[in-house]
Amino acid sequence: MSGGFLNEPDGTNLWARGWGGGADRAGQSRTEFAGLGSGSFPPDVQAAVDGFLTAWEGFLKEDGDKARGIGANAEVSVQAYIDSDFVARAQLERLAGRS
Amino acid sequence: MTVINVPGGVEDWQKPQGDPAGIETLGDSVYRGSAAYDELDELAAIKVNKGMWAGTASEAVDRTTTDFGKIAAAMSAAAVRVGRAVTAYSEELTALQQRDEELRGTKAFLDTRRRRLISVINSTKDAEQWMIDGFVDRAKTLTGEYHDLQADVDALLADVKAQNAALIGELRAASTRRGILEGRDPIGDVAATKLLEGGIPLFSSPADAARWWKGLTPAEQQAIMMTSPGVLGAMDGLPADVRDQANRLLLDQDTDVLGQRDKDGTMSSDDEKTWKNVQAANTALGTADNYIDPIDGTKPGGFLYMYDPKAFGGDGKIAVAVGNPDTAANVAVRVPGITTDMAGSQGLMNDALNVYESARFNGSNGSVSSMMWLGYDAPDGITDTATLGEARAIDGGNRLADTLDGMTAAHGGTDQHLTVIGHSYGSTTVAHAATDHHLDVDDYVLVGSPGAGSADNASDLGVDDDHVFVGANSRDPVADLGNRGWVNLGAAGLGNDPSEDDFDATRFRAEDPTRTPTFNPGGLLGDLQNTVDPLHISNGVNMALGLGDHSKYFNPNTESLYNIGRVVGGDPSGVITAGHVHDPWYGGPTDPENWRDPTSPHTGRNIGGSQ
Repeated sequence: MSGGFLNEPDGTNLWARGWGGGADRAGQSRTEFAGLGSGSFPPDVQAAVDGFLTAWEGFLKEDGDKARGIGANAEVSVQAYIDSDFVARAQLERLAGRS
Repeated sequence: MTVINVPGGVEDWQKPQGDPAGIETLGDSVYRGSAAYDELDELAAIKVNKGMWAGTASEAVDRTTTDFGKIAAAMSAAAVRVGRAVTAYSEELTALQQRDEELRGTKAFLDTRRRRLISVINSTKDAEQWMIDGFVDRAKTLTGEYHDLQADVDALLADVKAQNAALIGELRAASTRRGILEGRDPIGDVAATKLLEGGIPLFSSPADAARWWKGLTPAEQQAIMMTSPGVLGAMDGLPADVRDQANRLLLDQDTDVLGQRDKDGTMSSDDEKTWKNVQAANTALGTADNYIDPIDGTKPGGFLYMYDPKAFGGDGKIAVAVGNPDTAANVAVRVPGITTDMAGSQGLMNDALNVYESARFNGSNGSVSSMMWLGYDAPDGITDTATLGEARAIDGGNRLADTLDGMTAAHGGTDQHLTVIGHSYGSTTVAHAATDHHLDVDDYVLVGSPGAGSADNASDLGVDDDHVFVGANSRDPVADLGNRGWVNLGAAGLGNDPSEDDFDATRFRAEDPTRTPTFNPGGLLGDLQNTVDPLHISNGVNMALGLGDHSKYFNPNTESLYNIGRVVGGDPSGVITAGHVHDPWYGGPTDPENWRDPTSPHTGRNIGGSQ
């Protein structure tokens, strides 16, 4: 079988699922951020700390969602490719049988 | 009439606010945030479509993940920078609060004296001139001391303000995507500029590094600490507290990132090895931090002088001192031998603490710093072919010389007594450092030595021979390997045996009460025991006794540790000497220590050589 066909569908799917796992962990980090450090800083620093925490909760949510989206789309795309690859292989085998 | 100007004192000031422990918790959390982004960055770096998946969808995913990877890498770097800033802020706040406490103590002391002076003046009637002069003098003295206190308080408040401003700057720079992704970090830019100016003397002398560091402003120093702790932590010539701060930042970061991976089950095999080293470093440093001085009950403090858990193929590189090596009156650097790696840091730390304790009983109450130094790639064990050659000792000697030159440059040439101790293969490493380089070392101690490398005689080490001390347990097979006289010339050792009389060093007693019994199966050797050391009839015999006695030189309540303490503490007259090994041309080597009963001098007592 030569280029263009999927040689390692399982590996590819694992990769796609790995994305989802990484994204989930990023989301968990967002949870761990919440509330930490509050009250530990002097008043003039606390505002900057609060601003940072709020911003990073947003970043982690945004990037976590984005990563999950990439993983999900990749998984769908890979599955579609596997399906088409399966069809292509079956067609080739039928052609080979006819010959 | 004489006017006595009693000073008004110093107004109360704002205490440095904040909870260092709570702040450190935030630093840990931020590091974990960086670990999450690292994982996404690593996933993005895996090009899944190579040979597995083709077509437009694959290409689209590739583009997306590549772009996402760049963002993740930038976010991770920003989180690391903030994590470092917060952790450093926490440590600095602890120091500032301690300074504040000390200044408040000084204020209370001065206020008490001021009240007493006023009271005495008010209650004195018909004072004579000499009494008035005394009051004036006391008032002047108080005025001067209050002036100094006010200056110290002003400096403290300025430092608090600067530290707060620096952290606020870091936090604000990392609070917007633009600031993170476009590198709009003014503090980092200062450090980067300094790095690019050629101002960091990475490859010049430690003395140049020390001068460069002293020439920076506190803001510049802080900025470089945040952006480049790896550079500062390894830079010979920088003050020990600076290296310590930089290396602790790296250790904290590794602890949080690898700890998160461990929790997530996403560790690679390399990560697992590094993680063991990181955990060992934390344990050893914690032991040093919590160590209590046996004489004054204070904590001399731990200093992470060197830290690289991935060095030497994963064996790791580390140096930890208890007590500040820049300021202590007596400094010891201990170099270990074969089988030692970073994962075994705790054992090395224990030995360093034992040396510290022994040296503290030095009679003059001089302060001590004791460092365990694993800055070279020690051979892995007796089956490692590197053990049979001196290549690692030569390389290690070069590295040790760099460290020692750095320590000399950092303490600025003040009067300090420096002792370098080499154990086992480490003694060969120390000997190479001494013979191959011009070092500012006062005393050398070689224990359990398989040979003194390129030093044929004690004086080859660059000090007078009465500043070279040797401990050789008569049951230690490794100490039996060095070349001796005629008979053992060309033996399996790594140079001359420093405990032999020809070497001209001072040999001290180093027998252990738990030493292996004399090897004399069935009394076959008979009276021979009294004239010839049976252990030295054949090296093979001694090797058969095992390596247990090779590892007792730093045990508490031993002759060896007692004598090492005397040397490190600057009290060489207290060393209890032993007769040298003698190897006449007409017979085998003899060791007079073989037949003497070992004693057990208490580590915490200086008996002044009267034993």
